Amino acid sequence: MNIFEEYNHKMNRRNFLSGSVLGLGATALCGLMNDNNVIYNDLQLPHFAPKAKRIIYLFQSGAPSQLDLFDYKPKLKEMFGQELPASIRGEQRVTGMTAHQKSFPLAGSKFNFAQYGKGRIWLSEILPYHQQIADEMCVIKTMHTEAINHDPAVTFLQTGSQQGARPSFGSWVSYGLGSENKNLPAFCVLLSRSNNGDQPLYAKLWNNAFLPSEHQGVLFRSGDDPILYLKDPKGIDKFSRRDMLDALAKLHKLEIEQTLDDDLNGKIAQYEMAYRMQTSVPETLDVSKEPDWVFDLYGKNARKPGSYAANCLLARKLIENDVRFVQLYHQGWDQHGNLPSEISKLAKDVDQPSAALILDLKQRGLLEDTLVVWGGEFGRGCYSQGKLTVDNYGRDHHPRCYSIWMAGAGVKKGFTYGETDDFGYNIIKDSVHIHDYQATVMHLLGIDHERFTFKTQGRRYRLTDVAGKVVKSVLA
Amino acid sequence: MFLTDFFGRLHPLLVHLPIGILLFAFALILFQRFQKVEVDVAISFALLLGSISAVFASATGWFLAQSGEYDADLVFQHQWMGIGTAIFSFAAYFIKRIRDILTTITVCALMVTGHFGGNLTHGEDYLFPKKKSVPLSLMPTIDSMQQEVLKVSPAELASANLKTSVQIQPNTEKAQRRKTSFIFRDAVLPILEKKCFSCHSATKKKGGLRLDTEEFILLGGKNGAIFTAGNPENSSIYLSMLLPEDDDNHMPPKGKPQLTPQEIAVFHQWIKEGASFREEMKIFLDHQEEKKEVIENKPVIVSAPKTAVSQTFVQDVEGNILKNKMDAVAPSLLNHLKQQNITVSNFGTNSNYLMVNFVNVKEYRSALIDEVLKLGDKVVRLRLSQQPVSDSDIKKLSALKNITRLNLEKTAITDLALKDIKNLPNLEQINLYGTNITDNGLLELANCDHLKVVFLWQTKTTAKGIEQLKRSLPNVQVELGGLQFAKPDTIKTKNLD
Repeated sequence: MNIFEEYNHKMNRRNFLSGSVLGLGATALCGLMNDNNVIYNDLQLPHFAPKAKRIIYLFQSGAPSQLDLFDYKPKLKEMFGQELPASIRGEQRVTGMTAHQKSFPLAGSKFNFAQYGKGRIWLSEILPYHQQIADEMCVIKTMHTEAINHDPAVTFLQTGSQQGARPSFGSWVSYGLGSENKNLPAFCVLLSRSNNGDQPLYAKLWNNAFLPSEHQGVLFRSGDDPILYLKDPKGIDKFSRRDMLDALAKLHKLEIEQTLDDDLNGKIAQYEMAYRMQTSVPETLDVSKEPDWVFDLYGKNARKPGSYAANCLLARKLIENDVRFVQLYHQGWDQHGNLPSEISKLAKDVDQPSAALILDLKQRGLLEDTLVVWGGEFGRGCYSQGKLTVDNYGRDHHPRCYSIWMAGAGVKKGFTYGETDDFGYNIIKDSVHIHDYQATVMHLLGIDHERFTFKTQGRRYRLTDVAGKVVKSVLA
Repeated sequence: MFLTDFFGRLHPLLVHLPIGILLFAFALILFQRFQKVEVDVAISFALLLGSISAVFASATGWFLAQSGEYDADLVFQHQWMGIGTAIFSFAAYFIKRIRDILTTITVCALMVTGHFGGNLTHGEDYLFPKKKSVPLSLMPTIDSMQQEVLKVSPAELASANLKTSVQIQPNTEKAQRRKTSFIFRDAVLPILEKKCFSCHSATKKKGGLRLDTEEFILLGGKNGAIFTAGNPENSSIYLSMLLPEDDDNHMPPKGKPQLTPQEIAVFHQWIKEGASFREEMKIFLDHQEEKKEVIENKPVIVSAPKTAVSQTFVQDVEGNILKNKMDAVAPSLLNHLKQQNITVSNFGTNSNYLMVNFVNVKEYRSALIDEVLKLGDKVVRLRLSQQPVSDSDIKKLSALKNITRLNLEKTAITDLALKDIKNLPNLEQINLYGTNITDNGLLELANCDHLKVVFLWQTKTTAKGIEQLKRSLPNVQVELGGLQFAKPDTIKTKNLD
């Protein structure tokens, strides 16, 4: 062999390393660039025929006391003031708010319960309007969660992870199923509260996280300007706005020709969406043409923008226009003390509008393919937080069991699922973990939660993380 | 005692060292000879290392043999071949003059030793399986000629069983005969042979237990009898199969081929039936194929008798349509519809049926319905809500035979349109709320056999018309809407006005 030739072919360590660094970099780059394309092409949803095409999620933030609303426990009244048996409490941790308590006196609900509807559903006397929709309700009494404080628990329920930085339920649904109505966002968010000083909510709860940004929940505010920065600024009329958008689109297209960057197409689409929403949103949210009986149905608060009742009415209007996911949040259910009077107030705010929404959807034929969910992030304990008196008590957080209800597309009507023990403390039959619940709702939407993933940062993520079983028993 | 046991158990590990190293030494010698390279130092080193490891292997082997679990003859051969290998390898190291010849002898001895060792561990017929032979003593006492007649192929067995369960009377003599077998010979023994003999037979008697003849099985092992006839739960052979695989007493040991649940069931059945070695048992085992299944001599109910469809039974028409095959829609057509703002969505990844929605249509015109007609039978749900749909448009829809849900709420249709709707044979739901439909139109729906729900809120229909419809379609659910709440102290909901 010629010595020069040999020299030319020599692969020394330095050559190898410098060469392979570029090679490895190129490999990694391919992975990064391909990620989104692959996912978009693979995404063919729904996986199977959906029962529900739309969702309204009536989120009750702060954790409503299941023991005063849905889960009737006569034993607690019988044993009023007695100590919670250690065998029931077990090793359960309690929050810092009651950990110091020397005594855990059992506090039976102050309210009377009765059974309603064909399904003999237990309901408290402070839910008189729910009593009238009992035949539509599917109550799950055995929800349970892993978190014990509000923020992680709400985040867990909304994103499948306590830590956050994951997409919200609505964002996943928007990403998977898109919107039928191209003039309105697929994921709409409405907020309301009963008192000032309630547990706060954060935009991360309706955030898209790593999903493409158009799947972020759009917050509708009450008042003249439902979506911030949607209106044209002063001095800019409709026509100049149109001209501006056209010119911007041309510039974007020039850039696309050069860079083949698909994100820019997304950008153009979002500008166009915003432009269309300038007319579609005020039209959709306009309740001035609603007849009086509608306001009678939803309650007089429905005329007050920003109230829960008004938001329920708006939810119906959005669903009527084929919005995919409407998320309501009502704050104020966190009754650590003075529970009887506080919860009565909250129930009054929420009871009639929630029930009215069901009736209104039903008569319009929308309940056939819309799922409504009502519930909080965890439950409340059976022992009193603070001093227990005959007509006053408080309840601390309780993640081991709580009640929610669903109604509409694909779920059983007039049905109660799961059982808790006599103290309403532990689940004794048919538990439903947050991930199970999420998997079930996904199933109703025609999505197999295990196959619905998004790859980012080197792994595939899904709403139910690595768990979740569809609760087949609640499906109609 | 413990130490010797421990050293003995190192044998299977250590034997691989001389095998590898001595073979490598041999390879180096060949290399040196043919490539004319000087690697004497390496060869010496390899031989020395190989010899030392061979000594260790022999020593541990000797300890292992002391356990007495192995066939003495085979152990004798293996042991002396092994020691011979160690001696020759040392010789090859020290006597450089005839190293090539000595190494060759070493390698030959090594291979023979290895083969004997393999026989000890895996059984004599591991490398070259012999034809299945049944010890004479285990042959059934029935005339073997008759046996031959009764032998049937697995497929026949399966079909025979199916037939007995459905047609053949179980008490006919022929059926009875076909359904008998010799459970030990035909079912248990093949499993023992395949999964147990390697440790529990003539060559290797782990735990002092041999399973290769009737006498040894009855004798049991170190811990006594291995089964109690008729009582599987009290039989250690059965129980050891049920233990978790990690358990020390689990059999076969972790890492060895495990019994399938069917095979375990065979043991259970055999012991329960009295653990006879000869008797006929009413049991089938299809062990000639890999799939093993115990089929008991019980008439199997193949399917429940079909009952007539009851009045209240509601057929899932849409579900049935979705089950039928349908070809995919042309992408060009989909694109075309999209440009017309007609939203089309599907029923799942593998379904070509479609839901069509006019929610985005800003300027409705009849021509758009013609576009939808191009989709033909693929359309299962159609939503024309709040569009100025005319009666003549509805007439065209008659071509879409697979429509199950039709949303016509707040459209401009009149009673005339419903005349054509009855031509939709699969209609399950129709939403007419907010239209000018009257009782006359409603009557047209009486022929829609599959109709389940009609939404009639804010129409001109009356209680009389609804009653008439219900007479033709008793199961139809009519949603009249207009729901208002009762005051909180009463419970019933009632209709408005």
